[in-house]
Amino acid sequence: MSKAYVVVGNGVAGVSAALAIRSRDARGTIAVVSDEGDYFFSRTALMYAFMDRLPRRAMEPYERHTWRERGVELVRARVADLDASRHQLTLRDGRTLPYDRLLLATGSRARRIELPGVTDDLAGLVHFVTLQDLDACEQYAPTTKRAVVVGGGLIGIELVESLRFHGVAVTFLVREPWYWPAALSREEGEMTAREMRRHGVDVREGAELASVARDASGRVASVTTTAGETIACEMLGVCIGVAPQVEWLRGVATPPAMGRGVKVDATMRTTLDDVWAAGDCAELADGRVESIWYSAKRQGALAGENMSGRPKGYASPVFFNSAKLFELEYTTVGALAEVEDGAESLYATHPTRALSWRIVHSGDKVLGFNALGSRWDHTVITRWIEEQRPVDWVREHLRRAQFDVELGRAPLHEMTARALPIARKGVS
Amino acid sequence: MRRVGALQAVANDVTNRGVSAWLLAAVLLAFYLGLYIPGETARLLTTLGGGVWLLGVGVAAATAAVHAWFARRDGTLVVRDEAVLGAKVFGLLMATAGMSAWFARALEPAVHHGRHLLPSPGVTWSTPVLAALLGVALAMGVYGAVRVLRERGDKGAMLREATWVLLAAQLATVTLAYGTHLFDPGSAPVAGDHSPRAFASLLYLALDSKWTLYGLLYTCAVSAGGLYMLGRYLHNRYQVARTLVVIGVQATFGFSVPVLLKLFAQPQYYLSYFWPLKIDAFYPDNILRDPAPFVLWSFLGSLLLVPLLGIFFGKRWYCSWVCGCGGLANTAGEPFRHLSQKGEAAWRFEQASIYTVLGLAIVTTVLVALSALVGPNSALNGVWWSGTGAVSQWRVDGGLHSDAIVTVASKARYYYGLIVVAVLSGAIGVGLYPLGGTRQWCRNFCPMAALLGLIQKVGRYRIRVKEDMCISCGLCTQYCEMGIDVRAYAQSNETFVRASCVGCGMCAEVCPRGVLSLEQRWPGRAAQRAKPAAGLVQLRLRK
Repeated sequence: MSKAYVVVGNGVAGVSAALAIRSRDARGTIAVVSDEGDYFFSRTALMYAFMDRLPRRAMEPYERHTWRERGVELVRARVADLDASRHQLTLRDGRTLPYDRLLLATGSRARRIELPGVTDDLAGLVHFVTLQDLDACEQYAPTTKRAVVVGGGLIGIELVESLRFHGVAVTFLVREPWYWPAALSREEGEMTAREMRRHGVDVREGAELASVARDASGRVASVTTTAGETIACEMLGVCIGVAPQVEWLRGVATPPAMGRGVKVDATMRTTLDDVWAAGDCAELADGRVESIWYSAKRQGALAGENMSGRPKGYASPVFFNSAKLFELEYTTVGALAEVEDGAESLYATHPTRALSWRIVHSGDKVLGFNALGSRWDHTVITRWIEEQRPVDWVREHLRRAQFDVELGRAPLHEMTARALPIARKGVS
Repeated sequence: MRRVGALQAVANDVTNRGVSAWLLAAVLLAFYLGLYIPGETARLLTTLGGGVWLLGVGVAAATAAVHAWFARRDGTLVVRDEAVLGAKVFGLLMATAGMSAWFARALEPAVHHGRHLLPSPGVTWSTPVLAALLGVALAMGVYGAVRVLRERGDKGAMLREATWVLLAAQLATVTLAYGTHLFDPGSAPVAGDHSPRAFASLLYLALDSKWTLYGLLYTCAVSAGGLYMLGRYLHNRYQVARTLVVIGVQATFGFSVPVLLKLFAQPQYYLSYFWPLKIDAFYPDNILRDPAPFVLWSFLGSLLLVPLLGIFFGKRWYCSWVCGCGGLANTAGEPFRHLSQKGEAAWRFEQASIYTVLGLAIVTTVLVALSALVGPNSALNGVWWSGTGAVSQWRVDGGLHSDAIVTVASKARYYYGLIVVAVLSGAIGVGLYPLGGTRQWCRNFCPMAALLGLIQKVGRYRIRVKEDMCISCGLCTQYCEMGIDVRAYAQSNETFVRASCVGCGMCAEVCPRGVLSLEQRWPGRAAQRAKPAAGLVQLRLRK
């Protein structure tokens, strides 16, 4: 008797699960339901599509015939109801979809800003998370002279960079005293702000949105900051983070237990029988929601294994991430901002080039590492953190973890290091 | 979607098969085809179709206008209208035919009046034209000099800016040589004569063939494209070094050295090409004709240098640092690299096609060598075979007639030259830039690439994938000029090497997460490092 697997959501978690299931169960039917798009696409590639560096089709990590060949049925629909007692989903168009095993991988939605006058029908208001957001950006950008982007994280800077590419003047409102304090210390945040200013971005730290005015046609006309300054603009980008997309689950016949997201155990199983959850919509046993690509991929594959009968537990790996902030390469491993009391850091800069590295440590124990302007092999540094290498040893052997292009290694010997306290988030 | 004007929107090369790609292809292809058109045909073409070129230009302009209209209407350039594509192809063909005819016609005097190339002797270009061209050269030179001075202290930037001066010098020399009497050739050069005329004699001796002019054009395209390349990737030392070497090799071994050799009455030998790309290096009649040092170089290079460097550095040392075909692709062709076909079908075609051509190259070489050994006019007959009678004996006993070998060999040689060398490498190589990217020849047909690819598979070169860091954005795949689906490997944490990879390094350059790195390492050691992460299912690759 072959099983019927159903996955809700065709993001990286859902698709990784579907492929993992197929690699273990050749006979079961697999259906992936999504309302956003017909095919799995790389959400992280949104900015490159917006910047004309990729045609939309190239955002799809697998050729389209892959799904047919692997026997994965793609269903374009929105799920309206979940009845775990009858093992059945109801779609918004009235169809029902029975399942033996179900995965919820509905991901995140962009957090909305709560201000008078800001509603989803405001023309010129964009987020930067979904394909539909990309449509909106492409629609508004050609008629925009200045855009205001609110938010101080990765998605914010991605939207800012894309808009700059299209020649749009951008004011970037960062609520915190420096850019991205959740991941960067003050020095790195300021270095990134310099990089943004070099590319013509009007960066305003410590600035918050107070109100938004619209014109007669219903489009954004200007915004006013809490400091009382009014900025005329035709586009407002809101990139203040994401939240699990689980609201719809609160109204279904049999809702799973939920906190911020769908609560799961170490095997990604929810409180409902035969229902798992993975990715941005899943809240782990310790209450964390890991809304990051790598975790979603990992959790999805793991959920897929569990669903197809190989019990396996999820353990969060040592945190790592990387990005390109305009032209500034960024790598981070371990803990940087949320560290124990008494943590210190060793911070190195280059006299002329935009290069830095920082080792965060508590006593002799290395907690985290981050670097701007050069490339690093996070696996090597992860190993050092796990092996509890002393600070001086790590510092001396840093070159072993370099990952720059050939002939272009960052000149570590030209950089000078000094001890710096860790500036806490929000503390200036 | 692009916020710029309609004209720039049309030239956008990512979401659109850029008009600039069609233009470059038309010019290079036309000049190339012109080399093969005899004067009479050219006259016929230009007489019959006086408007052929205009027609082509007209079609190209019309399709550009259609694109511009779409761009304005939608704010987007993703126009997948096959009719527009068809019109572009037609426009390209017409423009190419017209320009080739003009080129061949313009060169006619060179054929009929001895050595002189453009225009027939005694004709000078009008003063305004000369002044304009020299003015441009001067402006470029001054601009370059100022930029070089401004970049003092930054060697990379100075080198980049110096290419402006190089271009200016090229333009000025060509203008003065072809457009004025200044360098008119006198009699043969006389010792001690340092006048411009003496120099001109040398110059005319060198530039006496259409091929040399094409070489000059090609070198200019590599230099100009290299300039663009350096400007764009100045932050990447690998790209800067590679581009400087590519320009340098093209300017010396690809152009100046053969010209100088001719000046010294030597055969024009391209020292940067080896068998099987330069298949005639192993033809016995050439071996016997060419000076021994060149022959030795060819043999050592083909049999020793190429495989050895291939084992240690992969095929990149040749394909993206030395070779002229790759040189043009990675300089003037740089804006069109993303047009390569990425699908599995393209990969299957590539494998079938490239190893077929390698087979043909080997068979042709063997046949030609055999025919020289056993043929009635065997170059070696008088050397050691003739006395023994072994050859004629074998001929009779083996039932294999030497004349048959000679016939087959000469046909093979002719058709290999026509189809592989002339059409596939010369014409398809540059003509298909706008349709399938810049490496069509290298990817699908080049026998040297096939051979080096096989060597690369067992050698040290590979692309290392940093574990778990890939976000599947697809930039690496999109910008791979060989159409390798790099993302398929990167997203499954698989360090890999593909036979077709030319090691241009662009996947590593465009990766926003720094996942990829080109490296040289023996496979065993690399495999040890690339263990799949715990808890992650190895997704089966679509490769």
